[in-house]
Amino acid sequence: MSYLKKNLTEIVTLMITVSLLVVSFTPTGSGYEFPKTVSIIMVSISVILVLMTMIQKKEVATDNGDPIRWGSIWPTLFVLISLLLVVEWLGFFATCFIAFYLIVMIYSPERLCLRSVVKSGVISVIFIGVLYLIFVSLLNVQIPSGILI
Amino acid sequence: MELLEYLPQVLSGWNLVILIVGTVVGLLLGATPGLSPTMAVALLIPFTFQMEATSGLILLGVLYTSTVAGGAVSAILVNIPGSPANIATMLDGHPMAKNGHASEALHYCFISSGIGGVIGVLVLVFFTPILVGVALRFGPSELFWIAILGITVIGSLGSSSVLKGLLAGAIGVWISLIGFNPIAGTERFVFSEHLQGGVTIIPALIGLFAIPQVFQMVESAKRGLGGEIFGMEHRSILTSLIYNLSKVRALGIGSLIGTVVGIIPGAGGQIAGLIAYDQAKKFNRNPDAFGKGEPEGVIASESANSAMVGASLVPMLSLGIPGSPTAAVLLGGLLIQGLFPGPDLFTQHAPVAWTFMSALLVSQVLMVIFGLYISRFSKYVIRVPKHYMAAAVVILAVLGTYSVQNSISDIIIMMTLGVAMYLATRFGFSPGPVVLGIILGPIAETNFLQGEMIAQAMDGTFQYFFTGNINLLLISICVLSIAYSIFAEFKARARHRRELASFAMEVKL
Repeated sequence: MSYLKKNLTEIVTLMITVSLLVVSFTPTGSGYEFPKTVSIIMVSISVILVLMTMIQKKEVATDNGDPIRWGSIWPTLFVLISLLLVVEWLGFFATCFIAFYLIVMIYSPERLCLRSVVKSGVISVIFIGVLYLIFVSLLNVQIPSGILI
Repeated sequence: MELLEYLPQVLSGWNLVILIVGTVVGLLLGATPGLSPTMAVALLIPFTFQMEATSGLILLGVLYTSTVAGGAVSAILVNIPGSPANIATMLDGHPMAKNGHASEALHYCFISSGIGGVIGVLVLVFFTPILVGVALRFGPSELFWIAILGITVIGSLGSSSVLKGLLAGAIGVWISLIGFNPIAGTERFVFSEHLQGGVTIIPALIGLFAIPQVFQMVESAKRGLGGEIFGMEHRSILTSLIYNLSKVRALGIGSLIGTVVGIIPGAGGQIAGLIAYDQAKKFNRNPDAFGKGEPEGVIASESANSAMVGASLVPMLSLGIPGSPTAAVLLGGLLIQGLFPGPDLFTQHAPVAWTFMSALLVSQVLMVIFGLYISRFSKYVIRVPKHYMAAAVVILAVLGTYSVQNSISDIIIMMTLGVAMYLATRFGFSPGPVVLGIILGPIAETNFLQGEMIAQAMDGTFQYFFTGNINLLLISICVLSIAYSIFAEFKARARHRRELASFAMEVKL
């Protein structure tokens, strides 16, 4: 991890822990003693981390910190958020089928053709069907059903 | 010898069928991320309603045994623990798989689980009366120090530095405090209606481990690295067995710690593997090898979490106090059958009690046999293309989280924690300490507050928490554990400096 990235990480961490400290100390009622103690410990560790990074000399190293590849992960994020928004309206298994199918199609290395579309669809149906049999038919787990299953 | 007297009953007819089916189903459910042993036992309790008391209890007992061991399969192959008990297994199991030793890791997992499990059941059979006395000496102060000891393990859990590990653990503890104060009952940090029930272990575990893994898989798939990243080597079971048995220290540490943690009511059996892993690392001549694919890491953690199974039933069967969350669910199964824990169980219902304990012993052997057999087919799991695996993990994570409490809020919490953890992993934090903090936070707080109340009625807080043989022993182990972590940190920094210096030299040349 480069010196700049490390410095920035420790400062952002300190800011997060300080905000948790403020949240812990703001309420006046009882029952907050333990969270207050924990938040003080968190801020203390963050301060030590910042000080250690500032004291350390600039390290000679390549930047080996793996960057966040937003371009790769945003479709999954979009699918996850959409799943949460429509799951109760559409039905649990129907939403899961769509989410599974979308992720498979988006990230498939194969070229988009009728064969790959059908193959992914069949695998998605089998996977969701097996889950339905295990969780609903066998284990009697209550699953929310919307306009579909 | 009651155990031998009732053994033929276990190995005959319907009971044997239940044992075999229960072992296979338990291994498969355990290997499914999100289906913890507690949930598996709870989900299958309705199936025991129509059964005889003995058969019903055998089914629940064998499920408990095999789900704990089965959870290691996904931990080793996919880097997602099947249950909280398998977090420590993942730390060295997955690196072993990536280094081309997946079969070896799975062999050690099942063999060590079998050995630890048999020791745990033998402890249950022979030492129940003695150990109950020990367990009863653990009050709130001792349980508080057990939780603190668990937190000191954080230094070994794979963050880029001990301080970052401790910070992640503290954040985990803080997250676990969201919801209701366990003593005063007051609502805390409920910023949204979705947080009213607090952050429970299963959504946190699935989110923190599974979602970052999903993002990594889709990243790899996008970069065209969608194929298998490691193969399953061919390895003889006999070679693994001989090597496994030669690691007496790791097996001993795991089995002993698993047994001790298991018999302590309320200590949370899932930390047995983590404490055993930490101690195995500290007693090893080459602790730096841990986290990079050290077989002893797998052996210690798996023998510990399986030894915990039998031991956690000691206080449950004799006092009605479960030693682990799954034992608590099993207690429910016992009560449904009209059986009440305590000395009467071993006198008035002796056939049921002894057949159940004999079945637990047999289930350990079956778990090893079927576990080793099923591990041969694990190659098909790792051949699944990354985009299919990512989609499957997402759906299993959602379904597994939802089925715990039938709550959409749990899915939101799971996804939020998962996305935050994915970002945090890019800055040197790892999910292990956060999960440990979430597990130990409520145990530490509840026992601290209860201890404070007791202390006020006695000699004061200091006297209550800092005196007594067990307290002093636990405090000493905590101090030694922290001192070792600091020593290890300095040693790692010195090594890092040396590596940087040699890198700089190479660049100059």
